[in-house]
Amino acid sequence: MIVTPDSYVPSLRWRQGEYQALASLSDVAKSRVIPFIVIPEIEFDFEEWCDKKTMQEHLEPFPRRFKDKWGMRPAWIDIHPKVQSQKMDDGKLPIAYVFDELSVLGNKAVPVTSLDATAAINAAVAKIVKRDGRGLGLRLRIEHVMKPGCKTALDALILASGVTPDQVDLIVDLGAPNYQPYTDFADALIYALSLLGDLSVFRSYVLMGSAYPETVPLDKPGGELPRHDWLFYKTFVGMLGPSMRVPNYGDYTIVNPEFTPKDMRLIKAGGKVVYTLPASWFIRKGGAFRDSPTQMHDHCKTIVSSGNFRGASFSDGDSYIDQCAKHLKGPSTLSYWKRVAINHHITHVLDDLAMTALAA
Amino acid sequence: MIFSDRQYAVSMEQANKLKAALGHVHKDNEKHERLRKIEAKALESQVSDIEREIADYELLKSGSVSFTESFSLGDLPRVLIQARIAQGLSQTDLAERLRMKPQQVQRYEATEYMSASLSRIIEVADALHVRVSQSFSSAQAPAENALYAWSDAGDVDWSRFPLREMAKRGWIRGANLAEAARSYFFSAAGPQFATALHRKKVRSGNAPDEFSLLAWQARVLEIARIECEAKDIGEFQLNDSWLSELVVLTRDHDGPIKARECLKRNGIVLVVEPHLPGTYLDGAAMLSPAGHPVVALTLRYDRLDNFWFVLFHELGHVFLHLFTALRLDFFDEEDGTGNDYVENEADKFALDRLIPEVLWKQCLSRFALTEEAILIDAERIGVDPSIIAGRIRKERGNYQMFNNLIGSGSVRSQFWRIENDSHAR
Repeated sequence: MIVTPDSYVPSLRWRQGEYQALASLSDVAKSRVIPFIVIPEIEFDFEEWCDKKTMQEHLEPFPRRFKDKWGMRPAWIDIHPKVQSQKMDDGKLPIAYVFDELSVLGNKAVPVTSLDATAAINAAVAKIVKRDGRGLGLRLRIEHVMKPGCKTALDALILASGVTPDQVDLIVDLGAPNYQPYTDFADALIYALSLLGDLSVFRSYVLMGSAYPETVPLDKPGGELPRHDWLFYKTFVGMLGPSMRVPNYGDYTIVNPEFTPKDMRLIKAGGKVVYTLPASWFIRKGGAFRDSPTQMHDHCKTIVSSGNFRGASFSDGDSYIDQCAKHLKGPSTLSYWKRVAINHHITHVLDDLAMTALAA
Repeated sequence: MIFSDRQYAVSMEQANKLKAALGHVHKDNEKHERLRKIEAKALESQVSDIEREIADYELLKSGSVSFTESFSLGDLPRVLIQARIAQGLSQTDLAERLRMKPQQVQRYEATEYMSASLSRIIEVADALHVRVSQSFSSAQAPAENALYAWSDAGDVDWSRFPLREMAKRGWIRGANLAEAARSYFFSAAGPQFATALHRKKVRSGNAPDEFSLLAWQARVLEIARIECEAKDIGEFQLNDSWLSELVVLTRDHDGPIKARECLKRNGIVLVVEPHLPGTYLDGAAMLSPAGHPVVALTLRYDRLDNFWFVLFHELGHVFLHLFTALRLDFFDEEDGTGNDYVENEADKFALDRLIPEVLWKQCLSRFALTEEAILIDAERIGVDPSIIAGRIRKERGNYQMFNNLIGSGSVRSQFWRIENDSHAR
């Protein structure tokens, strides 16, 4: 796992819109992206009032699809806490199943565990780490960082996993906090992280979080929402002392970490296009998508004529927005618009990081 | 504004000159009509202003203006000047009454009392028999940071007190409740209550019923007097170093009731008395007739976060303001806005004593906004989680957050339980 200063870590749930967005990135973009993939919880069947699939059925397509969509590129793979302790048909833990299958297919993924994981999960992860020799991903939630005994617990987990810190990727996951005021938050976080000791001993170090809201607080036809996570990251880095390690930037793209599938019989999802700008998300909203899919042409036209459009060649997502605005492409599906938005977002963040590096 | 007979005479002369000039402009046919109109309009405006000031002064001098109405604190400087003129006093007369130099009164009035201290303003108000108060007869009146000061027990209209409620609570009884109220006040708060004790600074977003406030205060002082007479109260010293003991108690299940004992040991009486109708009081700080600081809480909100914040806010008044020259009692309603220096000081005192600023800045729960994070910070700092949860709710202006952590329903029962136990004994 080689993480360079301009690498970007999008945290993805591996739902269709997300892995398609990843797969449709340009090769140049892919070379700078290291996804933090969290295999999501099993979708709930609201009609039958039970999970739609067994854990076996839920996970079976993953290894092949991961190989198809991301190939031999590096990634971290984690399992959602709600399902990480469930069992496959043969009694294996999900993390063991995924990496056993991937080891047959070939990959460069690194398993992830955390201070929340059970001893059984940690033992399974340690086994993968020993077999694959690609190191270990450690995800720290903000609450972990806050605990006075965090460093001791972290050291113990690293030791138990059979690795040394230089084989560990530390991913500090802020979730979806309230970022303001940025300087106060940065002050408190820098202080808490300083209690973890010298962070430069780790192989890589990522600061990840999301400012995308669970519910978009905008009326039709939409407006802008600040990208607090990115703005905070820049403040945070600017406040680090000269000897402190600069983390890589990670975010949840345009998905809130608390996103959970809802009973679609009760929901008439609105047509929506999210377009990432340097400091905000430009969001166009309309009425129920199913009632009027053609609204997407107007949303795209508004984006293209807003003065903020990056051009059809900027990304695969931008190309689709441009063509939809011209009625050369149809309104597609809501899942496809997620792919479009995430593809644009990832490309935009890579640009943000490059610009920031240039400015520095 | 015209302040004196001399200025009145000068203004009359000036008005006449301006009127003459205006007549001249009207007759001046050599000027362009448009210019003539502009000039005339300017002069008319000046004449109008002076005539209005002259009329105001003449009205005040006529003695037909009464100052028995209430005024907001913001209007006080103007009212004081008008009251002096209406009473036929010159600036020199007032200065003599106040035993100060006439130039000092001139300076006060010229700056609309901006250069006078609050204690000096109260002194002037007393000298002029001006009763300073928000208009409690009008719900529309702005009540923010009102200052109440009655100068004479004879001003009190006893029938306006919440007599029924006072009787219902067993404070007074008899056929003539107004008379019973009068006796109650004199026995509960002492004969000087109207002059000495009823100097209140009220932080409020509403227009509180002044009579209810006074009735509540009398009850508080009565309880405090009984506490003080028990003679096991400690000696109060203006030294707040022991407040860390109180902070530790926030983590105790019975912390609020134990806080009362802790305060008692340190010479402060804590009284819990529900608020009366017409007030939205959370707490108050005052001095008992025996000289002990009294902190009174209404427990209007039965929540731990509210209890501890209001308690420490009132302690802020005790340590910062109660013993200053102003000799005011401090009555706090939660909805009061944050523009008042004294209240802001008491707020800061409460926040800093409960969680020192440097520790608050390190609280990541302010940003994580999860219950788990609050519990971790509370453990680290050594306070009850309700303190952090309540502070975040206030900071974010979101009172729907962390409902599980604010200790709802766990304060009143502690005080009522103790009172029931003592009755049983």
